[in-house]
Amino acid sequence: MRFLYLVFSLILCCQVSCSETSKEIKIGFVEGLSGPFANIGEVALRHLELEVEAVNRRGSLPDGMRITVLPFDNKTNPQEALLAFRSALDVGVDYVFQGNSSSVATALTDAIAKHNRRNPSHPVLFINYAALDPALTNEHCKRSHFRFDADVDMKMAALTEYIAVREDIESVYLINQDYSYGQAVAGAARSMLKRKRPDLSIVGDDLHPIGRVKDFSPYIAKIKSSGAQAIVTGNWGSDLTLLIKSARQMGVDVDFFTFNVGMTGGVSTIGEAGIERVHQITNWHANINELTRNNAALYRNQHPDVFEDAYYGSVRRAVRMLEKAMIESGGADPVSVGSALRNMSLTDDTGLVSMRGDNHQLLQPLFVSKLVRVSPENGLIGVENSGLGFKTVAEIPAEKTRMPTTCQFE
Amino acid sequence: MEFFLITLLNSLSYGLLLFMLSSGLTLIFSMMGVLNFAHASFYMLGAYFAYQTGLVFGFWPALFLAPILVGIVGAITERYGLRKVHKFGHVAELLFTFGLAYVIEEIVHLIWGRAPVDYRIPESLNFTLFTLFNTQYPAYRAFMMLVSVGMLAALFLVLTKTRIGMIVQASLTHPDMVQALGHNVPRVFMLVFAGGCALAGLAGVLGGNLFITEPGMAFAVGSIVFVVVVLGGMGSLVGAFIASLLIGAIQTFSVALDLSFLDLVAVFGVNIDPGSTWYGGLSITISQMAPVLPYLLMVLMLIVRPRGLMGTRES
Repeated sequence: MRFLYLVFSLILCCQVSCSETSKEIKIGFVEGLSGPFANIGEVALRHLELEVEAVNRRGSLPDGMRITVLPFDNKTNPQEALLAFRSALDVGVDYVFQGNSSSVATALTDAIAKHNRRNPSHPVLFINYAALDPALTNEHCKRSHFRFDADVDMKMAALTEYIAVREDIESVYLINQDYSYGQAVAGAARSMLKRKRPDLSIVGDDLHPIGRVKDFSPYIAKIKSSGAQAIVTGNWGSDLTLLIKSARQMGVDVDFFTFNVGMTGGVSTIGEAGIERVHQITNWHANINELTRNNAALYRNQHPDVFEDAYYGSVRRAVRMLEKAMIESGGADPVSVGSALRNMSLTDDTGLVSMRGDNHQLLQPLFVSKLVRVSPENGLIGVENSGLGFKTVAEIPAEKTRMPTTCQFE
Repeated sequence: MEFFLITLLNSLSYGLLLFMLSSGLTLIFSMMGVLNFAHASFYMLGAYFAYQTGLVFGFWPALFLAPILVGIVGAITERYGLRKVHKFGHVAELLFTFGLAYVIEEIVHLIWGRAPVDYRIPESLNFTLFTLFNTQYPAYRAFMMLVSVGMLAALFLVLTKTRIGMIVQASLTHPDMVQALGHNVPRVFMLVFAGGCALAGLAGVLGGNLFITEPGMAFAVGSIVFVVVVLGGMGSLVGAFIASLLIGAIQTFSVALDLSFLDLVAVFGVNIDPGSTWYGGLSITISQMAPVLPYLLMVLMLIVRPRGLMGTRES
C-alpha cells in the first residue's frame, strides 16, 4: 500500500514539474458569445485566434511557451461576466481579453483588480481591445487594465475634426445606446461639436436600450422629421445594423458618422446607398497602405468561408505587444509582462503605436474613412463581398490623439 | 403630419405582428387553460424554419411550409407532452411549457448556432411601396399587415362560421357535453394548440427577417406577448387585438416624446439644478422609458381591472 502511495505521489510530482517546464499561457476570451451580440464576439475571437496562431508558429516566446485561447461566454452582461471570469480563473487563465460593452469591461476590471489584490501569487491582466468608455483609463483606471483601442473621447475628437471641415453639414442627430459607452459618445459629441462648430445644430439626442430595440423605424421617423443632415452614432453590433436597415428601408438621405460600421454586417446592410455617405472612425481599415491590405488578405485567406473581413487592428496590436512584453520580461508572469507593456512602443501596419504609462491607453494613428466603391483599378479592397470598401479621408497621428488623464493607479 | 402618419403606419404593422403572436397564445389559453410559456419559442422556430426552408425552396413556399412545420411541432408537443402532464394539474402544465422554452432555445443553439442567421427579406418584396411626403414606406411592412389582417379575418370566419369553429367554441365552454355528443375533444385540443403554434410560427416567418433571427428573439418578445394577453383579457381574441394595437402605438409613439419630468415641473415654474441629486432621475425622457411603458400599463391594468380590457373571468 505504501509503495502505491509512493508511486502515485511520484507521478503527481512529475506531472506538476512536467507542466512547469513547457508552460502553456492561457488567454481567457471572456466575451458575449450568445445573445444579440454573439456574432460580434465570434468575429473578435477569430481575430484573436489568428494572431495567437501566428505567435505560436513563430515560436518566439521564451522557453518554448505556447498560447492557448479559451472562450468563455459572458452573454454581454456584467453579472454573467463575473461568473465567466470565475470559470476562467478555475482553469487558470493568465490574461483576460474582452471588448464588447463597456459595462461588462467595468465589471471585469473591478473583479480582476480585486482578484489580483487577494491572490498576488496568481495575478491576471485585463486586455481590453474594444470597450471605449473613457472612465476605464481615467477615474476608473486599474493597473491591471490595458486598452488597445482609442477611447470615446479620442475617437470623437478625431471625428469632430472632420465634421468641422465639412461645412455642408449644418445639423446632426445623435443616437446612441443607453449605457456608459453610448452616453459618453453622446456627451463627447455634444461638447466637442459645440466648441468646433458653434454654427452646427444638434437637432436630436436619443438614447435607446442596448440590444433590445428590434425595430428602429420609430427612431428613423423621428430623425426624418427632425430634418437632420447627418447621424452620429456609436452603436455597434445589431444595434447598428438594425438602425441602418431601418434607415435604408425608409429611404433616409443622411450622412452617417459611426464608430463601428466596418464591423460585420454594417456595410452589406447599407449597400450602395451608403457610398460617400457612411463614415467611420477606426484605428484600422484595409485600405490604409500595402501592409494593411496584406493583413486583410491574410484574414480572408485564413477564413475563406466567413462573412466578415478583418476589422480589429487592436486585437493584433494587443497580441503583438503581449508577445514583445513576454520576450522582454523573459516569461509569462502577468506582473512583469504588465510592467514591460507600460511605455512600450511597437511598429505595426499603420505606424508606430505606444502604450501610455500613466493610464494604460494605447496611442495609435486614427483614421476617418468613408464608404466607396472598390475595383481593381482604384486598388482598394472591399468588405463582405459587397464591392464596397473604406477609403481614408482624414488621418490623425498617434501623438495628436493624446488626451489629458485623471488616472491615478492605486 | 408626415411624422405622425409614418409612425402610425409603423405602429400598426408592429401591433398587427404582436396580434399574430398573441392570438395563438390567447386562443390556447381560452381553450385549454394553459398559459403557454413556450409560445414565443414557437415564434422563433417559425423564423428559423422559414430561414432553413427558404434556403431550399425560396421565401414563398417557406411562408406556408414554416408555419405548418411549427404547427406539427406544436401538435406533437400537445399530444406527447402536455396531455401527459395534464392530469397533474395546471402547475405541471405551466412548468412543462416553461421548461420547453429553454429546451427549444438550446436546440436552436445546437442547430443554428448562437449568432444571428442571415434570414433576409425576399428580393421580390424588397422595394418601396409608396412615398409619403418624402419618407419611403417599405413594401414588406405593408405585406406583413396584409397577412395579419387576412389571418385575423380567416380566424374569425373559421371560429364563427364553420363546423370546426362551432365544435371548438363548444369545447371551450362545455367540453363534457361535446365529448358526450361524440366529438373527440382531446383531438380538438391538439388542433387548437397546433393552430396557435402555427400562428406564432407565421409571425416568426414575417418578423424574423424584418427584425433579426437569433436565439434571443424568443426571450425578447416573450414578455411583451404576455403583456398583450393580460391587457386584452385572458382568452379574448378581440381584447388581444385591441391590446396589440395599443401597445404597438405606445411603443412607437413614445419614442418621439422627448418630454421628461423636468419639463413637467418647469411648467409650474420649478427649475431643477443639473447638479442636484434629483436631476438624473427626473431628466429621463418618455422616449427613454419607451420599453418600460407596456409593463407599466400592465401593472396599472392589473390594479384597476384585473380581468383585462375584454376578459370575462376574474382570475
